[in-house]
Amino acid sequence: MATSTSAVVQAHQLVKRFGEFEAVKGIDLSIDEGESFGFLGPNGAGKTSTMRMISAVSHPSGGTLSIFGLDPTLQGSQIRARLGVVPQEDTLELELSVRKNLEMFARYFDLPRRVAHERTTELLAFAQLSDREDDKVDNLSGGMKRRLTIARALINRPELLILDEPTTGLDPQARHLLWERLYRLKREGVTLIITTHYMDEAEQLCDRLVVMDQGSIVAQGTPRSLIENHCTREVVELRFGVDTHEATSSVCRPWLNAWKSCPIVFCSTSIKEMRHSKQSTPVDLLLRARSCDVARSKTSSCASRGERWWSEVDAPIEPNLGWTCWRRSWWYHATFYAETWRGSVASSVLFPFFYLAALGIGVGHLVSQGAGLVQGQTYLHFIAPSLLATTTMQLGESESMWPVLASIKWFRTYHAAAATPLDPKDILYGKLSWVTTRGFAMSIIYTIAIAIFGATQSWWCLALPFLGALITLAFAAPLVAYAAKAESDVSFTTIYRFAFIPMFLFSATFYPISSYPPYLRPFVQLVPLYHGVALAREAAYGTGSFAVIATHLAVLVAMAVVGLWWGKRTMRRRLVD
Amino acid sequence: MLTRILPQFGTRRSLRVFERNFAVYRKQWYMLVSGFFEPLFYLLSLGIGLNHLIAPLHVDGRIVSYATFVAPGMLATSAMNGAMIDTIFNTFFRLKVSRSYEAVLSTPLDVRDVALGEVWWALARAALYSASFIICMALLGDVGSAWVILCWPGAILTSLAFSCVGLAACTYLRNWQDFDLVALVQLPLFLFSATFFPISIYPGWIAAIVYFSPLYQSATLLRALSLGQFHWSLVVPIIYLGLISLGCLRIAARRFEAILVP
Repeated sequence: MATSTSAVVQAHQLVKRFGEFEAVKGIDLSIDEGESFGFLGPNGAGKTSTMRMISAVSHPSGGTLSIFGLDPTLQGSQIRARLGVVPQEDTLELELSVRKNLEMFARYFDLPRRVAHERTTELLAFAQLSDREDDKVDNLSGGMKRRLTIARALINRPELLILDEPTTGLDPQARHLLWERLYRLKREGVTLIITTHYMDEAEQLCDRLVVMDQGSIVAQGTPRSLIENHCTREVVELRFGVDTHEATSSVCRPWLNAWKSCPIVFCSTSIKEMRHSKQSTPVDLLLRARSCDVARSKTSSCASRGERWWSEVDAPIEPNLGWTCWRRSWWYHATFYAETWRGSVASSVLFPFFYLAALGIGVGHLVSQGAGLVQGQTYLHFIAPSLLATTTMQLGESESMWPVLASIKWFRTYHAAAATPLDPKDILYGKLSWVTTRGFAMSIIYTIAIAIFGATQSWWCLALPFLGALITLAFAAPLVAYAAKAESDVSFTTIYRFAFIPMFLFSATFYPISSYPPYLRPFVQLVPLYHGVALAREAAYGTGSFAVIATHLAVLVAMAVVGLWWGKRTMRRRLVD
Repeated sequence: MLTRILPQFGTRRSLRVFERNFAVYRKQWYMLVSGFFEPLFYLLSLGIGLNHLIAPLHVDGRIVSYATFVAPGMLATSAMNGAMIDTIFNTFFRLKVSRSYEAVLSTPLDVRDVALGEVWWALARAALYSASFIICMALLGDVGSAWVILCWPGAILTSLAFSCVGLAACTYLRNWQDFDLVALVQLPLFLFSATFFPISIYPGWIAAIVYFSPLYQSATLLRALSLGQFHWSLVVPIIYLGLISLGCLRIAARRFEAILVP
């Protein structure tokens, strides 16, 4: 393939297909060294697909492409060594510090540590982040993260820098700061490829640009020539009163269309104006220089904005603000589960049977041959109720640590819920009542399994589902409270290792408490799970005195109550204060 | 030959992915240290309880206590769980949620390097955890012979196989709910692979199925090594686990490519 020496990127009839869909439909490109080249176009125009092919992380489906005269399909690694890429979304290492992010990235290019350190110092100054170098990336503002991503892309001193919508989502100041940094790079001779939605950005940064739409190049040239050929200097935006918008604009349109000197956009008035203005004449005529872009000059899509976006027939609904609000949060969880239950239902139904078969029959087989048989019962009888207790504890634990932190910190769905009439305590009650519901359902399955395996001798086993629900709540409540105040999940692993695994192993679950030396038994009785296990056993056998059962119950209820009280405080602090 | 095969699985650059993981986890060093206590708790609990309920067992003509019998099985299980959790959860997070691999791929590294780098990392963690497990076994007297030292490479091989399985599996997961499906495979594997009771308690046809469980193979290998009972048949688990590793790593690299480099 012929490549001129100065062309950094050369594409001929480049095609990218995803299955049936053709994202890029045969484009021709040639980008010269030191040039700054732009891709302009709406979402879904094929800009990002093209950029990914140029970055040598996506193979062309057709046509030819060469970067630095190399073939990206075969020599991707060599090409990427000379590239810098700023992706559309920042893909920084959130757990690492600002400095470490850059140094880490330098290692991917095999830069020696010393060089990585020096370049990081330089680039932090360039990105104006020197004073933040030890901060975690998580704590930076959007503009800072963007600058850091650009600095990261420069760590290998790239000959070609590819930026995918570098300023989308930034405020005007951050945007100008970024542009200024990019000018400096351009002056230093770095070839730039930029995608953007904005003509003003393209005009500021690009020597030459192409406009893409639906996978094809629809126009190309210098920003100036594009504006001269495809845009007028002005766009007229017409706004009418809301009631009269359609009527007036349909009357005006033929008349205005005859006036070809500039594109005309019909806009509805803002909501505030709707209330006040009843004028049937254009309320304002905006002459807006230079804001036009090519795509817009060809459309009048704004005209449809005149349509009402809500229906007025709905009577306003007064939200119920009573204490039953939490039910809505319960419904939220239940609905979410209903959408996603398929994976977990098989495991919820099968696991009780699996556990009882493997531990009760498998290990039980060994125990029955051994010396220490348990109180005249089979090992299966012994282990079945305690498995119910430990499983419901695990449900309470697994549903309340990571999922709650994720909802608060990563997905922020609890914040979204708190912006509705729901109180933080309603969100808490909704979550806990949902986990308890699941604990109840799971215990029913367990109880059925226990009955099928013949591991019960008493009608009291019908109390097992309620007991399972209580155990779930007793563990879930304090853990939700804790998760609501946690900053990261690091401490969760410690809790899991030093609280839950020992609890699971040392609560006399797998062998009777009499296996412990007498001086250890009081300590076992301090373990919360022991009370759940003992209670489950008493229910399954129909044994136990009133005082003993009351003690076990009191421990579990106390845990739930303390957890609820604490959770109300931590949730409120996290979501409202 | 080797120079032709190895690049299929990634290059020296894969060590950079290891470095990256190391940098992230260095801040959480106490998590690694706390991992030492897990086997200690399990083995202690075993010593207190079941060891007294269950009479000593005959293994290849030797009579061993239940704790000595079951400890290598638990070592195999812990190697499996550690490797699967590490690769599946963390890799899924990086692949689909934080998408940090996308940044890595804009550098000279390619997809196979990323997959292989994750395996290096899983292996390093496995080496650390299994060493601490074996030390705990020795401390509590649950070892059958000094050959238990060979359980270390055995456990690392087990981790290698299951990290490759996890890496391949995580590319098929669509969302967090799909992790339930992982549990659906992992738990029966754990419960029925004859790790805490001998395979002889199964009827013949079930035993024939269990024989194909990689965890069963691993437990057999580690048990024989711990008791110092060497036999030619031990090459079966070694080859089996080795083939699983290579096969799954190959699948993982292909699937990574399909996801990251469409």
